[in-house]
Amino acid sequence: MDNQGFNANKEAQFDVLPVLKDDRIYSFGKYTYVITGFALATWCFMIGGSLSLFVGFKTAIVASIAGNMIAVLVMITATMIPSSKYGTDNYTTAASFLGHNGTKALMVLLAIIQASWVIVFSSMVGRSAINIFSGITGIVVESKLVLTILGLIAALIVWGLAIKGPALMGKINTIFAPIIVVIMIGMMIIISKDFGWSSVMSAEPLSPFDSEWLNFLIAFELSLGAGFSWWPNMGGLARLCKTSRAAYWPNIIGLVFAATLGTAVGVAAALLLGSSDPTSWMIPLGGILIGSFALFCVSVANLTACSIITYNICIGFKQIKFFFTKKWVQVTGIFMLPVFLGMFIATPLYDNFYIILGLACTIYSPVVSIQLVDYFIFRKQNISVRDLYNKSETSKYRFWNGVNWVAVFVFITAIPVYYIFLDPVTLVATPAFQYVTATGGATLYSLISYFVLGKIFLLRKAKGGY
Amino acid sequence: MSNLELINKELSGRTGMEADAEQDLFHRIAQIESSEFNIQPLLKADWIGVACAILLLGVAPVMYYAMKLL
Repeated sequence: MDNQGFNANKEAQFDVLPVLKDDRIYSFGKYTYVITGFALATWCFMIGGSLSLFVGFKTAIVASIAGNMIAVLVMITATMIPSSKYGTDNYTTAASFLGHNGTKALMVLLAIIQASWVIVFSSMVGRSAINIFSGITGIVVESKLVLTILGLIAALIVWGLAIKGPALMGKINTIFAPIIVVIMIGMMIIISKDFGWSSVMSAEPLSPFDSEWLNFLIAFELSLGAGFSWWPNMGGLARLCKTSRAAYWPNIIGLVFAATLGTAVGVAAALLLGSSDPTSWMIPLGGILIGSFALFCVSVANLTACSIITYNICIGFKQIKFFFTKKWVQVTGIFMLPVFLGMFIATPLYDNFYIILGLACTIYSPVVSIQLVDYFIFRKQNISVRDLYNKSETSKYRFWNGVNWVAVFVFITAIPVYYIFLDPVTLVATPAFQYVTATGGATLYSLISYFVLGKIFLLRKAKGGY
Repeated sequence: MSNLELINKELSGRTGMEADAEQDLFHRIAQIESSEFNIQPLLKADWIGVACAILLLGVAPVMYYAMKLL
């Protein structure tokens, strides 16, 4: 797709229509770059900072790989397989297990979470710009207005990238993803040179519980939650991949291994430098030249990550009649409007990002579990594309007035089940947490209850075209 | 009656889309439903890889830490 004569409204990739073979733009390699760049945005440093509270460097890496490996594999099996097979995005596919109106309700919740991420990341890009400026000139900028303006500029760039779409995101990440991987490795080398490798390995966690097993499990739990929380960003990209393998395996490279590399840097920085926020330590650590360049690259990763978030949720919006007739620039603009307004409250959101992560932990594993049972067990990997797009009462996926209440019930009740094991905001665990973890408990509950209730209320009553 | 005509008959006016977009959608659905449209699914080897990855890099480390710390 070249930019000459480019018209987003005539491109299948900007629409909710299923993407055919010839329209698919991501090869295995290209998607690997896209997803690696996406994974290496600031969230992995922040998650690293959270892990450092409970475990040391080595245990954090083990917990990160283990948690992400399980969660990402389960999550991509539920999302990428149907999306790559039928060329439909995640939100269109979701009609098969939530119903058309159920999907819209979920999308409202997801839009709030996704907009929060874009605000946090845009704000971080603003902070990076200030730190680079301060590093070069020696002038300290403390004005919140400047930060807000820079954050707004970053959000405008995100909007611009989202308007141009996945081809441009692919091009940017093809350049920057390998650079960021090299920077991460370089940062690890610098940290270990400055402090000594033995110090990195032996650094004590910052605020652990008495039980080492509990500390490991909390780190594992956070990694599980992080792995599942990629869900809203998945299918929109999978439908652009040329093969099932291209839609599947690169996620392991990006969301598990590359993310763990970033998490490891975040853990090491938090343990030895006292902060996981890269805007505060990259320049002091790497020096003005390398540090500023590293910060610039991480900022680019944040911008492309935000544009991927925006692209995916806006593709979902296209399902709604109001948005379908709107131009792509308008759909993305409507999503970005609360983001622009939210830049004025970015600092408290930025400082409490773990609440967004906590909320994400509780909602994504039930959705993935329901999708998994529905697609692989109930539907035996067969979805009617006609009925995904049939919004009338004749659609198989009409359920009860467009809502699969069985899925909604399981989803809503899975959230308190999560709390039985762990409070995701305070990270206070109950004794039961030590046996199954909170995500594990909520996932098992969702799998079993949807299977049982689905058999009784969907399959036996022939609701939902099973 | 061709598959495209059947889709047209079944879905026309029921997608919430404008007429042009609807026609494009029907062509796409017809292609996806045709036997020529075949995105090869993951192979058995892929699924074995998935199982190995979950067991070796997901479950085994947790078991190791459980045995070490409990």
